[in-house]
This record gives sequence, structure tokens and C-alpha cells, in this order.
Amino acid sequence: MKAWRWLFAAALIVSNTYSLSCAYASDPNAAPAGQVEPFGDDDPFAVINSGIEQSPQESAVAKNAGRGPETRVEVFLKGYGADINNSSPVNPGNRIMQLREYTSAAETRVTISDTIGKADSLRWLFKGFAAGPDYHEADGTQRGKESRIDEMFADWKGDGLFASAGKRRINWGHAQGFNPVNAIAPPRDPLNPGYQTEGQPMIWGNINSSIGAVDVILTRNFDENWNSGKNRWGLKWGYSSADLDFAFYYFDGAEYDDGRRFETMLGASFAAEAAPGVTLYAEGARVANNYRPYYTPTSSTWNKGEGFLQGVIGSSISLGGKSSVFIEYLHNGQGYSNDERVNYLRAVDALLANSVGQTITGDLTLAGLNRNYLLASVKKEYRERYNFDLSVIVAEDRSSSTRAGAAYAISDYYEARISYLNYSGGNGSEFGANPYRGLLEISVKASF
Amino acid sequence: MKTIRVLAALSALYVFAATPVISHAGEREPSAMRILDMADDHWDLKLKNSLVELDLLVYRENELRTTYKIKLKYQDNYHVLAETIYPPRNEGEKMLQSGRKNYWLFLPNINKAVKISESNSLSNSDFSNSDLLSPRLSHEYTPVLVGTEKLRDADTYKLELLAKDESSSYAKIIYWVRKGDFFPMRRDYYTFSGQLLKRLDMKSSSAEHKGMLDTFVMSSVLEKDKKTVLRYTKRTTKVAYTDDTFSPSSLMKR
Repeated sequence: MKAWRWLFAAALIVSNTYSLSCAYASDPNAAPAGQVEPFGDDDPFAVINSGIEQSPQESAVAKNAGRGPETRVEVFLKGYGADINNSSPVNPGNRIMQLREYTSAAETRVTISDTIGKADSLRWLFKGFAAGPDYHEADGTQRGKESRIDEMFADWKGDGLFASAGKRRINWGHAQGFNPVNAIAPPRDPLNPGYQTEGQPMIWGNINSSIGAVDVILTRNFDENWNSGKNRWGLKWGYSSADLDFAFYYFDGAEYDDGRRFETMLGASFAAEAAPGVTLYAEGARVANNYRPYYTPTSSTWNKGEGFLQGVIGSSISLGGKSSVFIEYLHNGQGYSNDERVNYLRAVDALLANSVGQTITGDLTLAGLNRNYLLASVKKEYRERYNFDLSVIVAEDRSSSTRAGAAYAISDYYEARISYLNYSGGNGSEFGANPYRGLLEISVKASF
Repeated sequence: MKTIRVLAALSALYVFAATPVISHAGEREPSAMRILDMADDHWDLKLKNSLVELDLLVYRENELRTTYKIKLKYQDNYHVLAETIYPPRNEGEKMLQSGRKNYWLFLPNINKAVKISESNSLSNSDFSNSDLLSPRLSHEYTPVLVGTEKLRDADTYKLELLAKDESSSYAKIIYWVRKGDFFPMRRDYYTFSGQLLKRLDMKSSSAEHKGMLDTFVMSSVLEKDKKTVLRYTKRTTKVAYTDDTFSPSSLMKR
């Protein structure tokens, strides 16, 4: 009787040990006999021996790292071919703006910065921009020569504290195309947001703690010549976690000389990962006063006065690597309804006939002649050298603006790019009323 | 009473036999979790509180196509800031991991920080964000020791790592770790559909920092002619970072 117990126990122990050992032998991940190894049997590190010599430029970068001010220069040589919209109600027959079909420009952007002090606590930065003889803004608007200081500031960072003073570009909000809460900086063209680089003179303070980050902004209503008359101020509180990043915004200012109250903005935004590779975000702003002129059928103007809402909801999807797509929907409560847009364009017509139309074409604001827009943008990098991008805005009136571009990296320092900006829609539509039907841009960029 | 004693002794024997694993050779092998932890330490611990400069080299058909130089501020596995310093057209781009699965990309050309997923990449290489910034696998995967193998003339443990949940980048990773010093040798990454996606081979190349993991080659099944090489070129240790270095709000400041 005792013997069978010992035999049974021994069998139990041996069987478990054997099954564990068998786990070594029967590897569920081993390739079946005869299957080709997907990566071959070559030495994976053999590739390192090919072309690994550091280039002279790379050597220079490595050598100069950490010595003196950092300088970055970008030079663009651009040529433009325009398809002018002679039926544009804001530029009929091209008589008002007198746009030229073929233009060219050289643009230079220079950034110089340096840090001083323990742990690089102090930093100064200068960023300048110059272009001519005929450069175009992001939306194609033709300008002549331009030179300006985009940014010039000094900042200090400590443990959880930060302060900056000077002209600086900061962008509030989580969305990528439309930013209703971005009250400090001038609005950017959602089809080409990188083109708007000019900052705003301000004092910026930041406290970062376990309960989030608080930004305080003090600025004024500076014009392009740094003239100002009124104080402006803003506050942002933001918190970031693995699941959610959100922020609340407030921007206000002193009342105007005529007694009107400033268009106080209260806003909020968030971004969160909705699914692997998919980010969801939204922004909303409530502006307390609306001083935009609206037009009656008889072309007289009136102000709505009451506040309005702007909101955007969007999603970005990773396509792997640096390729991605994002889609956004914008509601602009300050935009024109269908009737208001018709009245505006009728007023432009009437005032142009009296040769005063130039004064109201400023109402042709970005994403302003409709109340609802859809923006989609896709970026794709291919085989390290090629970049493709396509962005489309469709307005509620079914007009649209499309920018398609392709770039080729000639080397680490030079890039060639071609892009086409198209506006389509009827003459009574937002994008169809644009002075251009299309604008082709061919450029070469050098970065040092 | 005697029966109880016998059964108790047999139970003790059974438990003793179950862990750790006893191989055919009779050696006592470490547990799968210990092997994984020791392998992770070779990568993660050596980077902890350090400033690292690395080269990311993208090859196609054995020809060098693009070189990225990246500066990596590494506090720990969940707090990492990578900044591209070369080539000039990508200079200033930053990728931040601010906590578990909280990734951000800063694009200097639009002066904006955007929240991204871990499958994005700072470069168009085969290294995703999590590959580059979160080398420690023990937090995301459950290891099982499936056997031993010879790899590049070394005896290795072969681990099967299964994702703890669907939020992980990969469903499964097969991990080869050298016996003796637990040096990581190779990882095969599998998708949630069970397909082999890419392979990472690792080694130590530096004569100065012998034994330190500093050379990685990532190969992709989808683009067989493409390989990405990551090399640590410079490392400064014992760097004290302030907490807000790794917060999203800091991306726009500096």
C-alpha cells in the first residue's frame, strides 16, 4: 500500500518536471521545418560597415555643438505662377489689387540664440524675417518687400518656474488647424500654419507643479510698428496625464477708447488617445463681444454685439513613422450665414462701384464667410527623401480651398518643393470669391 | 499521521520542482521575470539620469540614406525627452514621453506641441516612440521562459513576452537574452494579428564602455531592404533633471 503511494507521488513529480522541460523542446514560436527565416541568416550588424563615415558637414555640426550662439538660417528661393480670378467680387477684373501672374521672391529666416548661467537657466533669442521683391503670404496674398522681427526675447527657467519677456510666438490650444482659443497670436492659415511665425510682445510667466501648469501673459495691443495703447492679459491652466491633457483659458483687455468692452475670451481644450494611433481633441471658446460688421441687403452695416462661440473637434491618426492624417470640424459663431455672406458680397460690389471697396475687403477674414468648415490634412514621408502633403478645407457653402505639395530632400541641407493652392466655388462663395483661382509655387530651400 | 507526513513531504518536493525550472542538464535557471528584469536593466538602468547623444542611421539596400542626430534626456523609463539636432531641416523637433503612454511631438515649424501615440516616430525609421523612449518591457509584458537557444555563438534564454493589455504597442515579443550576464541580444516584435513585424538586434560596440548596450539594428518585415541603426555616441551620467523638463508645457518654452 505504501509503495503505490510513493510510486504515484514520484510519477507526479517526474511528469511535471518532464512537461516543464518539454516546454524547452516544443517551442511554439519556432518556425516550422522548411519555412524561410524572414530576415535571413546574415549578420544584422554588417550594414553598419557601409557608408558610416561622418560627412564634413556632420563633423562641423558635432564640432561646433556647445560653442557660442546657435545660429540657424533658412533661405528660400520661390517662383510663383498665379491663375487670377477676374470674376472675384473683391477684385473684379483684377483692377483693385492688380495682381501679377508671375512673381518671384527670396525669403530669409535667421534664428540666433544662446544660453548662459548655471544649467542654461538664461536664454536669449532673435528671429528675423526678410522677403522680397514679391513674396506671398500663406493664403497666397501678394505682398512686396517685407522685413520684420518675428521674435526677440529673453527667458529664464528655474525649478518649476519660467519667465519670458519680449516678442515671442506662443500658440494656445490642442487643435492642429483651427485654434479658437489662440487669442494671443494672430490667427494662422490652417492649410499652412507654419508660415505664420510672427510673435507678439509680451511678458510670460509660468508655474509648473503637481496640480498642473499655470501661464500668465501680459501684453498690449501692439501694431506692426510696436505702437500700443491698451493692456491685454491672459491666463491658462493646464493639466497633463497619460489619458488626458486639458486646459482652460482666459484672455481679456482694457476697454477701447470709445468705451466698448474688450472681447473677453473664455475657452477650454483637451486631447486624449482614443485608440492606439488615434488622438481625439477639441477646443472651444466663448467670446463675450462681437464687433464684426454685418451687412444688410442695402449694404449698411450693423454690429450684433452679443458674444459668440467658436469650437473645433478633430482627430489625428498615425499612419506610422512621420506620416499622419488629421480631420477637424470648425464651428465659427462669428461667421456669416448664407444671407449675411450674400449681403457682404453685395456690399463689396456696391462699394467697389464707388471705389471704396478696399476698406471692407478686410472683412474677408480667414474662415469668416461661413459658420461651419471641415478640414482634412494628410502628410506622408516616403523613403526618407520624399514628403507629400494634401490639405483641404470645405466650407458650408460648398466652396473649398486645397493645398497639395511635394518635397524632395536633395541633401540634409537642401530641399526642393512644389505646391499648388487652389480655390474653388462660385463667385458668391467664400473661397470662390478669392482673388486667385490657383497659385503654383516652386521653391528651393537651404537650411544651415 | 505518517500518511500526512508523506503527503506533506511530497507536496514540498512538488513545489520545489515547479520553480525555478530544472533543465535537462540539472542547472537551476532563473525565473522568466528575473531574466527580463536583468535584461531591461542593461538598457534602462545605464540610461537612467543621463544625457545621451545618438545617431539614427537609415539604410536602404545597404546604402546610408539619412542620418539623424538626436539628443536624449533620460530620467527614467517614463520620462524621456528626445530632440533632433541634425539634419538642419528637422532640427528642433522634439518628442517627449511624460509618464506612461503620454507622448508629445513638438514641431518647431508650426511652434506647436501635439499629443501623439506611441506608434508615431520622430524619424521615418523603424523605431517607434516606444522603441526609442521606453526600453523597459517588464511593465507592459508578461514573460514566459520558453527555452534556450544559440544566437550569434552565445547561449541565450528565449522569452515569450505577452502584452498585459491591448494598449501595448505589440501583442508579443520574443526576446533572446544571453545567459550569464543577461545581456539582451534580440527581440522579434509581433502584431495583434500574430504577424512578425520587425526585429531588433542589439550589441555592445564601445571599447570604452565595455558591456554597455549601445548598438541596435532594427529590420522590418514590411520593407526588407530597409534597416535602421541606432548608436549611442556620447553619454553623460548623473545628470539631475528638474521635473518640468519632462512636462508637455515645457515643450514650447525651450
